[in-house]
Amino acid sequence: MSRVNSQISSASIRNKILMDPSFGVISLLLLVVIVMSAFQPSFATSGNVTNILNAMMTVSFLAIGMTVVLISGGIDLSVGSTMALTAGVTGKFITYGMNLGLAFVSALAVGALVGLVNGLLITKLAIPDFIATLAMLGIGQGIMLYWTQGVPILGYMSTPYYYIGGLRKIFGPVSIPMIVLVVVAVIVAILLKKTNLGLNFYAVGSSPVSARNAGVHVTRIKIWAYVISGVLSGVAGIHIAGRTTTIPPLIGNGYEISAIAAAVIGGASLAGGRGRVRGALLGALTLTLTGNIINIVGIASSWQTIVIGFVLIGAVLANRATQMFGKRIHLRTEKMDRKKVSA
Amino acid sequence: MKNMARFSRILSIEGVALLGAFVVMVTYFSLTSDSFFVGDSIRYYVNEAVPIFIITAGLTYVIIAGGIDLSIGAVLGLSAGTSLTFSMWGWPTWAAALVGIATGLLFGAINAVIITVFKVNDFIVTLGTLNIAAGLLTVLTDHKQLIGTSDKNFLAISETKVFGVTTAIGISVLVVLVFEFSLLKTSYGRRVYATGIGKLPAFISGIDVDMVKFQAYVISGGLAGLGGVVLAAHLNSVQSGLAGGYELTAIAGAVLGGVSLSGGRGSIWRAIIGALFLATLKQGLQLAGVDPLIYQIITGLCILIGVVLDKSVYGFALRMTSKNLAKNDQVLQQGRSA
Amino acid sequence: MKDQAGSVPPILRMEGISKRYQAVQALDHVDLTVSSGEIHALLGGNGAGKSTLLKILSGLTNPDEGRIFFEGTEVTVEHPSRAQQLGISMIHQELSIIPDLTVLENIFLGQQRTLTQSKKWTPWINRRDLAKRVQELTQEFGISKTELWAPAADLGSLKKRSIEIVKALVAQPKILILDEPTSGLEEHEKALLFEHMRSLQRRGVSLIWVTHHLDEIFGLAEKATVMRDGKTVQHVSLENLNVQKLIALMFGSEAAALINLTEDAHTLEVNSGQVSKISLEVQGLNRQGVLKDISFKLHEGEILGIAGLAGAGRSELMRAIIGADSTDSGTIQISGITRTINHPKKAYELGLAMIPEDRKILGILSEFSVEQNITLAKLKKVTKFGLINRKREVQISDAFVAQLQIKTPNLKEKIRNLSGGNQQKVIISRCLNADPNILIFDEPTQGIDVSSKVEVHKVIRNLASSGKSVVVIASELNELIGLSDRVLVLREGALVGEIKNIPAKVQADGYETVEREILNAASKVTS
Repeated sequence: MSRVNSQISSASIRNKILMDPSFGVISLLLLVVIVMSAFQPSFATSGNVTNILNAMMTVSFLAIGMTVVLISGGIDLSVGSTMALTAGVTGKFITYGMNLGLAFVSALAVGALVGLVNGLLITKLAIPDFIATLAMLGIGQGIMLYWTQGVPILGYMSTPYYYIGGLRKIFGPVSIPMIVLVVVAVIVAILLKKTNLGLNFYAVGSSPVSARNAGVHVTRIKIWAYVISGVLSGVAGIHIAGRTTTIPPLIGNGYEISAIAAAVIGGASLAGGRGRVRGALLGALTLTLTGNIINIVGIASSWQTIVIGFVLIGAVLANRATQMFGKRIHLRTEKMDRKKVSA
Repeated sequence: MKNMARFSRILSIEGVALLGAFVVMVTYFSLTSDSFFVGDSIRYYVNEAVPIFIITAGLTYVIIAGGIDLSIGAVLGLSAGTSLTFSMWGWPTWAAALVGIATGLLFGAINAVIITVFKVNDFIVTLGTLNIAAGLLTVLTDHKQLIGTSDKNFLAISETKVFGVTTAIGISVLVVLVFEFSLLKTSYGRRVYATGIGKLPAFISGIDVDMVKFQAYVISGGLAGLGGVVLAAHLNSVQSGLAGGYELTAIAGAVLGGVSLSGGRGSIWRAIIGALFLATLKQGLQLAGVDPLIYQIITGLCILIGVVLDKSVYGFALRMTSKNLAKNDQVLQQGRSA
Repeated sequence: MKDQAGSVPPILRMEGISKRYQAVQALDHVDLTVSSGEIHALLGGNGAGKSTLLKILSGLTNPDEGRIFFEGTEVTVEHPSRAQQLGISMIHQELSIIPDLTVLENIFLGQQRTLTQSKKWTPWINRRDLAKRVQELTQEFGISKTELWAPAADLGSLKKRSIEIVKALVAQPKILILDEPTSGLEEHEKALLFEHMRSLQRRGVSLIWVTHHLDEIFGLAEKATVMRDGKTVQHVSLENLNVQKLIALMFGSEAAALINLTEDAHTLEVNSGQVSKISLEVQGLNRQGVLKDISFKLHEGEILGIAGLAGAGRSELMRAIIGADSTDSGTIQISGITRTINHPKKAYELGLAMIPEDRKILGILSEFSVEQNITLAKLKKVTKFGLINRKREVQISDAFVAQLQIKTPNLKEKIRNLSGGNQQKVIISRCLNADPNILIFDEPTQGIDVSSKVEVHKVIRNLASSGKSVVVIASELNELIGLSDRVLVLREGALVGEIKNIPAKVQADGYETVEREILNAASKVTS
């Protein structure tokens, strides 16, 4: 709904905000932030803010890719293992003597390749997306396990990589990954909003049959969505390798769930046809914030997963409430507008 | 001609291809490895797979009704924890078992209410309850391992041997039979399929689709609880992270067996065959001495091949049978006009 | 190789097209020739192969055999985008709207370049510019400037139809295919569409028109190709034909006689049932934005027609009555007793049954077999101790197959393999199986062939004669008037008119007068 709203110049600002699918989550977040800042002095410090921003990088990249796939009506369970695989490619190739830039390109290429395979399995072999990407998750993890023989990858870090991975900042709190994230977010957002390809993603996700009738190459579009997700997993892989400085083979474990959760919290629909980049970032922020608050407040780590569970359910309930609330406002303002016109 | 017709009719029974592949695989493994198919090892792996069979039955209900339940693994683990804990506290066996099942039912009900009343996406909600259940288990076990109830009767839930088969296996077989029967032969089952095929047309036809889904989630939770009790009785120990990942295995098995994720198609026996296939594959690979690091690659490939094969064999069989049907129609028509 | 206009080759020639779907030969060496600026009707019953032929022409599927010549050159249409390139546009029978996209986006999807007439490919979309370009045409079809930016899902089905028409026209096609374009359109909308068809024809555009409404084509289409069972039966010129001769070509001579019978029945219509006791009474039904204080009575043995423009609230009213939608206020009395109906299940228990419109989405359970569909609304009948009695199920289904003459190879056949008319009969059986006293038919003959239509009408009349109460919603006024004893007119959610004694009125004043009366009530424009 809000994707469409932004196109209506006449819709009031108030309506635009209220009907945004993420309105519920945003308000809850604001509430939480205010409460935390009031009661926990260590929360609102610049140090903590930087922590939060740093921690949300990885999931943000994955969530953006996941959002694109969700918009086109699919789902990608392999993003975590692809991230691990591409991290491994980066690390290993550097230790083999490849220069940094080339290693990065290889990682991205591998990510794209995984995406391509996913796309082909789903479109040409008609394997359900859940299963295809689940299988690729296993295969990717298996390749990584076999390649590393279970031993974490070491010894690939170098000074420039410290900067690229974000362990060293370039000025103030700003690190290279942050800049990369902003650039990626802007590029994907423009892609979705202003290009034909972006519109095709929404069309295919909303109604693949009607999209085909209109002349859209549904297969091609779906494959592109998975390739984009794969490439962004590669970006995440490069980032995480540089941030953690060692790569255990199962490093990607569980990230696909976080990516899906972040995308959905941000308003993407599992049924397709809806989603926005800033929603993905919002979702990533929500998850990261949750972890951060748990740490600061000192909740035992055993309670962390429980809190995350509640956050997930709370977020989608909030989004749903916004939807229903928004519809009522929509109806009411429509009636008001009609009265104005006839008066 | 007649044999072809009969052959293609058999092929068109959904899931037959997978069953065939399963038989082939089992034969291969038992021929190439000495330890496979020896009584102990098969009983060993079947015991491990028992909890998965039990939750697969409940999961199939949910999937056929058009939903999905990601929390079954974590709920199974938590139920194992609660039932074992109560047994360790000296509660009688039946009470401890009831606690475990009740845990499952509780989570099933939570899922059911949030999904059907608030109409929120089931993937996310069950993901949320997964986290909550898993977290509660961690809290319960306090990062230690719960070991050892002294109540022999509790252990007997799983370990009693009747005609050489453990009660655990017996329970799972019973569960599968009862629920499959209910799914295929009762009017309730008919409503479950209808809800999965089309919520709107089912609704207009007077079916309470919300209630059907509600019940499906509660059943799924309850069976996860039961599975937890059986697992706790079998292992006599519970730790954090128990049964983690079981839900993915169950889902993979179900889909492999031809249960469609969009609802309305499939049945429990097919999901079980799929789960059995994956469990056997793992066991067989282990015993064949395959590098453990390659398991996942092979499993992943098998899932892919399995799904594709199942579709193509089924489609092929369908084409063959409809050709026969059409020929029959023609003959009949000619007969009439003559 | 003969052409009508002299030396100019026909713009389209399809030769020897064959297509097989598994065991069914959908098309068997079909030919079709269309000239420039010609309106060509493509006719045939369900299963004749029209949709398959159109699918091939529009690029949705490929033929096994045969050739296609476009403007004299042989072409292959592998994908809808290729059809667009060639200049072939199609208005599909089923709504082909993408709900999450705006109206504007739906219109220009897949064809920005044609719209902007740019030679270069560019990835960018300039929505403002595109909006300007389509403005004129959309306003003609009743879509306002603001609506262009609304999500397409929000618009009513009539406007959705208009979006599709605009979408096809905006591409400035050389060949426009129209597959049942008038379904769901009101009279003035139809007139507008025909106007556009004529003006396109004058500009040299060829139109291939598929319709069940045979009366519409005379006066508009010059030529017709009649298909039956996947073969072309005849190519005819429509000058010397009438509806009856056409039907004889399409279905054989017995069908034509049947149609004759129905036309007589229209004029002689006197419902033999006793119109007496009130079976259903609705008072003050309200639903914000949808229904405004609606009250009416329904009698036993009566056929009550509900008329109104699309979006007037007809289906919504019925859905509220059977409990599929909620209401804000109002009471419903069945046989004098006030009831709360908040779920279709309750409605069935109280003896209400509805045959919904749009059977593909609301009616059929596609994966279920014929018998499973039939028994669904009253599983109690085939259930004993919770178990389904298959024999009983077969018994019941057999009876309905015989009664309604449902054509299906066997009861176990999946309903999605049946033709539209037979699917509808299965759904009607399902409702009848629930032993209702009050039946609501929402667009009962939508998208079904003529012979099935006649059979459905017979069922409706028989129900009324046997004392049941029937409500019929039909957009085609002819059909509505022909069936109803009494007509209620809805407009913008409110009841604005009631016309009693329809059969008598028709005999006295004729169809047109009654039609006009209904239309006037239905379309008086407010502020």
